[in-house]
Amino acid sequence: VIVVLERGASGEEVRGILASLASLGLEAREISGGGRSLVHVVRGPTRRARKLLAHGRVVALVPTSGPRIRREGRRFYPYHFIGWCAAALVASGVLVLLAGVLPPGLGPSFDALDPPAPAAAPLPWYLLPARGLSRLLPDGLRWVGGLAVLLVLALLVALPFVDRAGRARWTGGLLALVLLGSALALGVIGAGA
Amino acid sequence: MNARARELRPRSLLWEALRRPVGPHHRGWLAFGWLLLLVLILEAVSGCLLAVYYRASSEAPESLRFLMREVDWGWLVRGLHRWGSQALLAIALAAGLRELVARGWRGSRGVLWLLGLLVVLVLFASDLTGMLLRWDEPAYQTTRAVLARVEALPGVGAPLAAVLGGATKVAPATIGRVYAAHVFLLPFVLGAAVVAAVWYAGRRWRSRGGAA
Repeated sequence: VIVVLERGASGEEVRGILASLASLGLEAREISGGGRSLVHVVRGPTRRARKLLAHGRVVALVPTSGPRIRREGRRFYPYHFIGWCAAALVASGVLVLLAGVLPPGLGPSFDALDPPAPAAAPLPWYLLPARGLSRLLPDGLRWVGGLAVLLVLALLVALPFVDRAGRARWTGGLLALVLLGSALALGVIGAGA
Repeated sequence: MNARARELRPRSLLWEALRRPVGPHHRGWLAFGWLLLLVLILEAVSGCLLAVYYRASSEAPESLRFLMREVDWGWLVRGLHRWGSQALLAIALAAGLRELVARGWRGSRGVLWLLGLLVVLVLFASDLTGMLLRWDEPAYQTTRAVLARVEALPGVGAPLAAVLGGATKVAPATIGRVYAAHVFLLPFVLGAAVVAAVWYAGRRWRSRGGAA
């Protein structure tokens, strides 16, 4: 692992990082590259180096070894670019197939000046959770469905400002599970007749 | 050109990217971004081709029927545009879910998180307005239902629905507003958000010595 320090890190700070690594049982040496100080962990269980991410001057850990790198070697962007091009070709083929097999339909025309009577609207799939929530509420509170969508959006916007903890936590996974689970459940209710 | 400006030049950034190995945990992110960019280009090209024949008026369904039946490969262009939008939403949601699990809003990634949210919102709005542009009876009923939900929001609902719909109910003016939003406003916001995200991610990647 290479420990990347912020630009302008002093020699004392680098020595502090080396001492921290030594206390974790890791042998490391200072190297330089790109005009910044780097510390190369050369021996020891490199997983322990993750603790350094809590250090204010450490900006990143770049793995230089590990099972995947030993197996695959160090691959550069052009190598992956070929794989992505292949994936893009397959994706384009799937889209052409869908366009041919399931072409988008077109319903009967209507006169906007003399509109038809309100009927059940075919909502797109991403609006089904909001409709599902509305169905669970009494008539006077139907607007809560729309408000709930706005609240979830506000929560997602607020996350960078309220959750600033550096250590990995389980909150992300739990939040994803709760949002996905409730969206699926409400979507099923919203899709029902 | 000073050194700072030189190091932010796109060619310089690309050259540096090509010289660096890809970290084992970055491949997934880059694949998502690459696919998203590709389908976005497909949507832009097919959208421009559709705009050649589409008429944003009460004649919209007839113009689409003409495109599908009379124009060579018209069915393919419309089908690609429709399914491409669904693919965009699926890719963007999958990338968003992955970011959510990885708590991708922490630290300096917060800016990318907010830009990503903006991109997802604009993609949803683009898909919704695109669906309404068919201007057939199902599209009318959907527009009416969506506007009714917006109107029911306390406080801001009624004026917001009037701005979105062009009137207090679905009217001939609505399709003009929807078309303007779908073809001019939303693509502009989307393009600006994508460019800002790529620029910020590149700058962040460089300032971290090639780490994500």
